[in-house]
Amino acid sequence: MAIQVQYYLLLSAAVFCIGLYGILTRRNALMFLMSVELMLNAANINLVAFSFQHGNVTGQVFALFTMALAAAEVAIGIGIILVLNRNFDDIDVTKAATMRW
Amino acid sequence: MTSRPRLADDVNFLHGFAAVALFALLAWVFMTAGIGAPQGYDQTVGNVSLTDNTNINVSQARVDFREVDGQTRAALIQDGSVEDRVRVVNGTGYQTATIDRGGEVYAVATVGTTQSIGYAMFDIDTPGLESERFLIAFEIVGIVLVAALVGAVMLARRENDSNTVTALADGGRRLVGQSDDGTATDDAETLTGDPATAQGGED
Repeated sequence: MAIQVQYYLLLSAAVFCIGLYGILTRRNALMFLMSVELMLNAANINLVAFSFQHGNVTGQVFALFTMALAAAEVAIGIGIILVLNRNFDDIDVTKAATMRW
Repeated sequence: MTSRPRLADDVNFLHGFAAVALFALLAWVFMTAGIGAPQGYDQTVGNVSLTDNTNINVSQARVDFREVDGQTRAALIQDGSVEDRVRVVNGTGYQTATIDRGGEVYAVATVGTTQSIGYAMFDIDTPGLESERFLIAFEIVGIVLVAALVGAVMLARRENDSNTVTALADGGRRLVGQSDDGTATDDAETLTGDPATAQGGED
């Protein structure tokens, strides 16, 4: 008996909302990055779940590409956090309020 | 002093409540949506009637390539006793298994899920699970990854007046006697006795 797709969606919603909670409440840029990754992976769970629902592998292949894009995003994100720390001496996202300093 | 993980209590829980409310809403929508049963990656062949016209002889068995649910699959019928595994010997790359349909034993050959993902990724025309073609996406993601690598290196590099500064191997600690603006203070030399160490963060 296969697991119903609703439960995959529930898991995905939980992971997404944990990420959203992190974004809404934390101020540390690294925590932001981790929260964004959680939200991205929630979308991946949806892709794989609906791939299983429809009986083709399009969603699975697309999820692989999303993971590669997530890796690229983390590389740039950590670079931005490095610059943030260098220019503001802090990685609190609320302190970086100006485009020039 | 312990270092166990603790719940951050210096946060705005009111904002966080929005995320909890969103989860409640999503959970209600999903559980009342009435989505049908998953189709899954069916490993059996439905309504197969094997013909003798297009079959290929494979070690005393017959194999028939035909369209099932819009996909080309190979069904291999093995007359006689049940075999757990039936091997297709002509190198078609099919996985096989036996199924029992109304007392008649069929050996069904399909392409595995992982195999199908690989075929879809590189646009290989091999019968498998249904999928879009992703070769262009594969190339684009490759370019994006290279761009991300270049961007990460560019952002991590520090350049002051055309002097490229490499990373310090100080474990991330602030150097003794170095002020916030990066200049060495007077007490640097007295504390370290080595100006190079005191100013190491900038040169």
